[in-house]
Amino acid sequence: MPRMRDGLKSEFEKVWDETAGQVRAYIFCKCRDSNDADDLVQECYLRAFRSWGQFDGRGSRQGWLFTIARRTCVDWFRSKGKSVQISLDDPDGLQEVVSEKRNPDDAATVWEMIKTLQPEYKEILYLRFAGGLNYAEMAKSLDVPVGTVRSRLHRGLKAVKTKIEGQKNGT
Amino acid sequence: MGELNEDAEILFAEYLTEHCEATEWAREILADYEMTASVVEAKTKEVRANMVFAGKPNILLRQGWQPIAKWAAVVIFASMIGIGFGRWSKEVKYYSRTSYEKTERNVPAKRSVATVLNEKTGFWGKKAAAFLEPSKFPKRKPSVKSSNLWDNYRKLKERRRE
Repeated sequence: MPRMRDGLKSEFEKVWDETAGQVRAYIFCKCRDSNDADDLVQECYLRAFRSWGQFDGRGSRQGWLFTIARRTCVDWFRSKGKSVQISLDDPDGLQEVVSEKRNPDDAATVWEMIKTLQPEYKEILYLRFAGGLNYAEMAKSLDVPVGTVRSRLHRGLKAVKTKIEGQKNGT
Repeated sequence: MGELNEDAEILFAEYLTEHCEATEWAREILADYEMTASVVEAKTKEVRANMVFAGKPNILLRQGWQPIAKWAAVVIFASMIGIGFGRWSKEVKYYSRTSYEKTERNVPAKRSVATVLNEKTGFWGKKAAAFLEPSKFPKRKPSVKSSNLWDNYRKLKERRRE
């Protein structure tokens, strides 16, 4: 038993070293607070450690971890009483960005515009750019076909560009 | 975006070379991709690099003690329930021992068999005493019976003649 525990511990530490930064970046994108991100990362890896043997081996461990991370964030949002979905129809988020008359090319502006995207587009962008997952891993994590991942990524990028152009044109 | 293998990438490059409008379209998409990637990377750079927080060691320590603490709590809780039921159960009635007190039995002193039999006046008592006394008459040897039935018949006839 101690030998198995040492093996599990070393395997867990190896996965931690490889993925903790990306998982933390992904969670930070969703909660937008570093302290909350730290707590959620700990919770995420604790859940992963408890269910370590339940990984069926299909796909990568990284995609499995991001699935746990996403569910951890959903549970956290529910406990905080916040809505996970900030839809395109939410005028408050977009108005806040427009009213401040920010430079549309500013990274901070683009960052806030990403926040106002539809949930499925945001999820894809965070997984791709913060988590560093490839198409197959994203598809496994979200439990959708690879084609859906491609189309959502494309539409998400288009939506960001549309918002930037709208900001430039003053609309 | 790094998702194509070498062969697909070569084919895609050739396609873009042949179709100018597709090249323009791909360039726009790539620009959007790189812009979004740079924004997200810039915002998460510090978060990604700043991994100095006490997360990893505590996870394993919590996992090591949690199952033990859980089982200890279950055992303690079950013990408390058992003790509670034991204390509140009906008191067991112990029967008084007065009915089982040792009574002195009148055990007569040990006497010899002959003395006891001499005191008996009944028929069987005298019979038993006489049996115990040595016999006045010599004991007759038991007749040896032949296993042969004809010999037994001849002996019986001789006895009758006598």
